[in-house]
Amino acid sequence: MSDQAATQTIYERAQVGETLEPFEYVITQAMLDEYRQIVRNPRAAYPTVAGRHALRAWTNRFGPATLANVGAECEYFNPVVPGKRIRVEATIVDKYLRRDKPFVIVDSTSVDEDGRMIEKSRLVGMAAKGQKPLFTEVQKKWETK
Amino acid sequence: MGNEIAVGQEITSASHLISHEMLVAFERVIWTRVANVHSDPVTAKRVGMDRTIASGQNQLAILHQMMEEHFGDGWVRGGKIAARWVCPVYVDDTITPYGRITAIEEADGKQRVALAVWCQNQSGAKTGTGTAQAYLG
Repeated sequence: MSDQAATQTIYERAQVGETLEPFEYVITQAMLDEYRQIVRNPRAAYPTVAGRHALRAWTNRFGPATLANVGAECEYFNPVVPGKRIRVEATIVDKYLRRDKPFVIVDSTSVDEDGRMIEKSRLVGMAAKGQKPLFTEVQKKWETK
Repeated sequence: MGNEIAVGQEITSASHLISHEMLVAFERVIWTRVANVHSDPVTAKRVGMDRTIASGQNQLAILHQMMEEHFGDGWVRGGKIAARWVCPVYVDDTITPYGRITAIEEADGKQRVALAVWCQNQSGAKTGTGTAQAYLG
């Protein structure tokens, strides 16, 4: 990491239009069963809710606890088929300051190994700012509503 | 629900106790994450919180369940949701999902329903709000 990158905030480092590194993974039947048990929904079709695709792509690039999930927009096409490899591609599509809070928008698409579109999802995130812990900022947002 | 639904009608689904065990399990079931404000009380305290909080995805899963129960495959194949997490959900809170039908329209040769959706805690405060859509029939 360059000296400049080291002193930039996460928000400053995030570049609109940046394609994040794609990743692939498999949701097994055991993982699906466990997810359904945890959320107490025996018919849950999208365990990807806990997979947090856009956030995971972001975290792979910027590290953990650098973006707080303050909103989600999702469109669902085909339920996850256990055992099928899922490929996730994600892009930073926007960033903006609102009431001095740094927001970042990350879009992701998830397609399985047979080319079946699983979901498109958008993460509305609040980025880490300076040296303050991320969730301290999120708490302030909640308190000022 | 089929043809029985009407604009203005409200729907709901099971309430969920947000237990510590559930928060921990949710953080590792599909994507194993490091200890964080959702799963680890020490981490939560380090950033100024007195207890752990649920992630927005926890609330999203609860809204999913309501949509799946009421609209079945019309949600699973073609459902949409947009939500903002507007108030913290703390460990041991109880969260209930709600929806109110705002429109029923033709789309792609099928009926499509639009809803306002929200999650509410045991005190009646809305913790997540948004909109959703699903096909009917």
